[in-house]
Amino acid sequence: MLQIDSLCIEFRQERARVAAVRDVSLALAPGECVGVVGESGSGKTQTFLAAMGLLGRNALVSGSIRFEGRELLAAATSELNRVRGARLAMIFQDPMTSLTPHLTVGVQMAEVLVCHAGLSWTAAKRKALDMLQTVRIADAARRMRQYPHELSGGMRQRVMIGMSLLCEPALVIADEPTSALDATIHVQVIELLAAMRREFRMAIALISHDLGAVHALADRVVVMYAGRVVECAPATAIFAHPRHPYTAELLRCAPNLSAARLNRMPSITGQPPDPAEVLPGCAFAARCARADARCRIERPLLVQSGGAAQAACHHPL
Amino acid sequence: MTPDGVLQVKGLSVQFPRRTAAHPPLMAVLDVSFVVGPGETLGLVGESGSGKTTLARAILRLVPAASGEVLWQGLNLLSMDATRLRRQRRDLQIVFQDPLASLDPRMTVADILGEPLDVHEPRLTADARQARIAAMLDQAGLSAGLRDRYPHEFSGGQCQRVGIARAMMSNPKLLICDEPVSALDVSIRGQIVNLLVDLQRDRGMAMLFISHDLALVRHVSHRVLVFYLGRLIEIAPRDSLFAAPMHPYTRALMAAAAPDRPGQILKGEPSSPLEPPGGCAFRDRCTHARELCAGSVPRLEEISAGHFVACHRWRELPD
Ligand SMILES: Nc1ncnc2c1ncn2[C@@H]1O[C@H](COP(=O)(O)OP(=O)(O)OP(=O)(O)O)[C@@H](O)[C@H]1O
Ligand SMILES: Nc1ncnc2c1ncn2[C@@H]1O[C@H](COP(=O)(O)OP(=O)(O)O)[C@@H](O)[C@H]1O
Ligand code: SF4
Ligand code: SF4
Ligand SMILES: [Mg+2]
Ligand SMILES: [Mg+2]
Repeated sequence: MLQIDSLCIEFRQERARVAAVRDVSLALAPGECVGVVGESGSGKTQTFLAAMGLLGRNALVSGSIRFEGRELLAAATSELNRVRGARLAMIFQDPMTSLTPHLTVGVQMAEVLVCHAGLSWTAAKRKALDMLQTVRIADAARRMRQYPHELSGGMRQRVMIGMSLLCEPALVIADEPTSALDATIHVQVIELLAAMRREFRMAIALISHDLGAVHALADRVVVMYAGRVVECAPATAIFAHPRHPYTAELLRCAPNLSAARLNRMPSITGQPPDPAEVLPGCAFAARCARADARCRIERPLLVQSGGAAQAACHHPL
Repeated sequence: MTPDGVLQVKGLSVQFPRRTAAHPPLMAVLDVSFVVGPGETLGLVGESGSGKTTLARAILRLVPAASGEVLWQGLNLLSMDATRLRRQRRDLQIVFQDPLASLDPRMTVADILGEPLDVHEPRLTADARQARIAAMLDQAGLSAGLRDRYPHEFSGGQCQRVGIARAMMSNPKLLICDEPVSALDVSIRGQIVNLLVDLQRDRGMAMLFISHDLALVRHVSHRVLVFYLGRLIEIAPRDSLFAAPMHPYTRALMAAAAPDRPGQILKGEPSSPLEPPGGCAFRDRCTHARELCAGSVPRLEEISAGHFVACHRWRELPD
């Protein structure tokens, strides 16, 4: 249904070109949930912003993104607008900057339905209200009349989620949908996404730092590092047996309230490479315990690595 | 006792007016009192919309308080004139929840980090200024090549590092962190938290640390406050709170975060601060609620050394 092939995204800067996404390919089947995890800044958001046609103006894109048979990268804006919001929806990482500040919650939600589903304002408002209740906004009728800045961070995030589900899209891209929510609502939102998925056979691309949420929801997991996919495997396999050293390190760092409190928070030492730099070898080499001379000169390709798993590493675990 | 580096919040309430005058105002924070000592980290957790951010903003006078006092080193910030407030603000910094929205889109990273220096240390030489910026970038884990970039060119995680670096530029004595790492992946989250803990220890800085990540709060905090619908419902030393949470909401929160812990699974809607239930604000959802819970608002009672809880029925709750 969604097929991304050899996607490259570069940003023009005053002095340099920054490669944010380098040769990324991935596919989503109808009703499938793919978890996308990885380093902050590794290109997760940009990959999917490209599908939405929402990249910054200084972006240079190549490759292909097909959705329900249509090439999105070549599509005219009017066609994209029809697809976006109706068939393809995105929940953003940053709810405050993606809600319209001068419209009330109710008006911006109803507007989506009026524009994309052709509903009357009255019907649209009724449906918007139902949706706010579905995403567990207390006192939904009154919240409809408020502006985004009058809501807490968690409430804004739930409004965004509700808004994205209004037109019952075929694919929802959820970029960090739970990072602003407390644990109890967090659990409810994950359940909500799971229920919507069962009900509408909706596919989900879940971009998240929350490995627990990915574990609960995803069928498959894609791990990104420095603009590339470094591992891709069924969720059960990746959590039980990560192949790429970066994936293993990421899992080691997952916070765990059930375990004893540690003196230091686990972390990966060192920094990801500067995206403006072009490295010949593996981008993780400077931080990897298994790195050898070959890793520094020859870039590993994404290849089959046991069962259905793929990893880009010369010395997989 | 000299109150050097002590923040004391006394009976603080914050309300937001409603558009129609017929409605009573929304009580976002209600009669909250606590103390943060020098070098102490106070964790703050609670339901989304329970008033954590509002409390943080009210302490810094970014929203007006309806009543109460905020004493910083013995001086009430809420009644201070603008000039004196500005001088105190150097000591009190905040890192916001929303990384991108809190950075000026027209300033480069170097400008953003330089600004607090220009305000608080205008006599710094250009070289010293550059050196300070470079050192801070390094400490915050931002490569030097990023200094001339603009906020919209960063990923969420990078923005948050810039926010933390900016706050640290003026060597604050109290740092308020409002979900400082929720936009970061877990490996960098660890680095940033370790950085905050180190800075705090080296500089004796106090912290008010707001987060939904309970494992993180347990990691950084000496004591923890729990909020529900604008009220403080539990406050305790870290080990005491995590080993033996008392309030039914606190237990539900921990059960949601770690399924192997006891506590009810919260069903139903979070109650609305627009129309809070009378008596205990949690009673609509509490499986232990009885008639007396509707009668009056439970007050904080000390149940063991330093561990306070606001629940009428704490004595009868199962262990
Ligand atoms: N400017 C405002 N005008 C009106 N109401 C507001 C305003 N800011 C916040 N509120 C309300 O105050 C209450 C507390 O909000 P606050 O942002 O402090 O919550 P929070 O505990 O930080 O939540 P979260 O965990 O979701 O960030 C909410 O009901 C919110 O809608
Ligand atoms: N408009 C832009 N100009 C230059 N660089 C950008 C722009 N937008 C994003 N980037 C860079 O692209 C990289 C990937 O960002 P992003 O996809 O947001 O990361 P994440 O994996 O955390 O979602 C980052 O290094 C970021 O700084
Ligand atoms: S290719 Fe080498 S450096 Fe890269 S992850 Fe594998 S072992 Fe480590
Ligand atoms: S006071 Fe009553 S309703 Fe409130 S938490 Fe305690 S038992 Fe539950
Ligand atoms: Mg992102
Ligand atoms: Mg908040």
